Amino acid sequence: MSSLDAVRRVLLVVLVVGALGAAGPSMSLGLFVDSHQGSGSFTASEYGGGGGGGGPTAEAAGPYEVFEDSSVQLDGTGSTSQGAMDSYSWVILSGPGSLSANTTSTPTFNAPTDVQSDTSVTVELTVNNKGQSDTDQATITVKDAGSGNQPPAARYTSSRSGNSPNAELDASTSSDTDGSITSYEWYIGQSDTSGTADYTGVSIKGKISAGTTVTLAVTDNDGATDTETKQIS
Amino acid sequence: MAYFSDTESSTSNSVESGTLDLTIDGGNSTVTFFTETSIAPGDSGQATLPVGNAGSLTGYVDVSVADLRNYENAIVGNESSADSTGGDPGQGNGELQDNLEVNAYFLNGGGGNEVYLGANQYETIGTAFATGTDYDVSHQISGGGSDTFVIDWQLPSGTGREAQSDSVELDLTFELGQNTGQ
Repeated sequence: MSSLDAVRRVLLVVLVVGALGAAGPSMSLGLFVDSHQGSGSFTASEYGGGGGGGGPTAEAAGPYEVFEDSSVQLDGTGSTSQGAMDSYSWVILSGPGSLSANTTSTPTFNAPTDVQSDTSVTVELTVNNKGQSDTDQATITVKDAGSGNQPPAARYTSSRSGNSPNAELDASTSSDTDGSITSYEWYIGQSDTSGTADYTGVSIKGKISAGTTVTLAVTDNDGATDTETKQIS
Repeated sequence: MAYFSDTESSTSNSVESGTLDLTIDGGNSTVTFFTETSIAPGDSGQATLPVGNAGSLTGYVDVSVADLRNYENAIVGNESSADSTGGDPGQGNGELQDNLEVNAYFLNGGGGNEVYLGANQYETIGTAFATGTDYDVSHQISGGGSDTFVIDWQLPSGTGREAQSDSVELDLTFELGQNTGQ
């Protein structure tokens, strides 16, 4: 007999005695009660769900990286739906480049042939299934080839009219084969570029004596530089 | 003066009481009778628990909710677009309890009818099994008899993404008493 059963039986004896009226004018009677606990749990999955819940879930994956003048395959296969997905549609929301096979789960992003620096592109995937849709965005970084940048070539000519104290310096013959020159700086009386430039601009005219050392520094669109130093006539 | 007197004795008397002995899943201890994982909108199922009276007296079963806990767990996938809770704020912040629906009953109420804890309808588990709720159904189970407690559950297909990875834990107390309405 369990201890619980023992307690119950004692209680029943008290009940019987009480019913006979031999135990006093009043008493509190106990009743048999037994209880146990049952437990459980529910846990939801990562089911996605569009605005209506059970609809499809777009998953554009990423972020992606691709070098300029190259391509990368995007991956929307992580999108989910109840049953086969009805459709995929990718668009470029911002940035350069183009998409191929943009109505499949794995389109190709074609990077532009050249970017001046690392450039961000945003694409958006829209999936549809059974009248419900969902969207997801991903970023693509189009990386500037960087190491392939050709530095500019600094070149300038000098001239003056007769015995004029003013010299004309012209850097228009400077060049950059894979971009453009973004700045011209002139250092008068210097064979280097320390300190602050005396002039800026592709051509200058100033009181510069013949025989003065002049350094031209040019910078291209990728930040590369070149200099030319010589004594002007 | 002497009085007449007489004495008689009786020995080996005994009083034998009846017993009530609640069993759930055939035993006398706490049991976990359902663990549903990875449920998604559109899913449904049934959890069952054998409830018996191993004693000799007819008893009446009531059900009460000892505790209902709901957890956010974490913001996963595109849940963030519908749930701004952020991170894992702990117990009490999940949304599954507001979406998961249950309908609970004892299977054999006599005459082929079930004995429902409330109305015969689905309600969210957060409502149907709110902590502290008492269901004084007084479901009769005779001595030596048993029945099956059932929870039908469903996660409606329209459930939003905010309930992803959330969970709900439920503790029910089954009490077998000698009287109805104990």
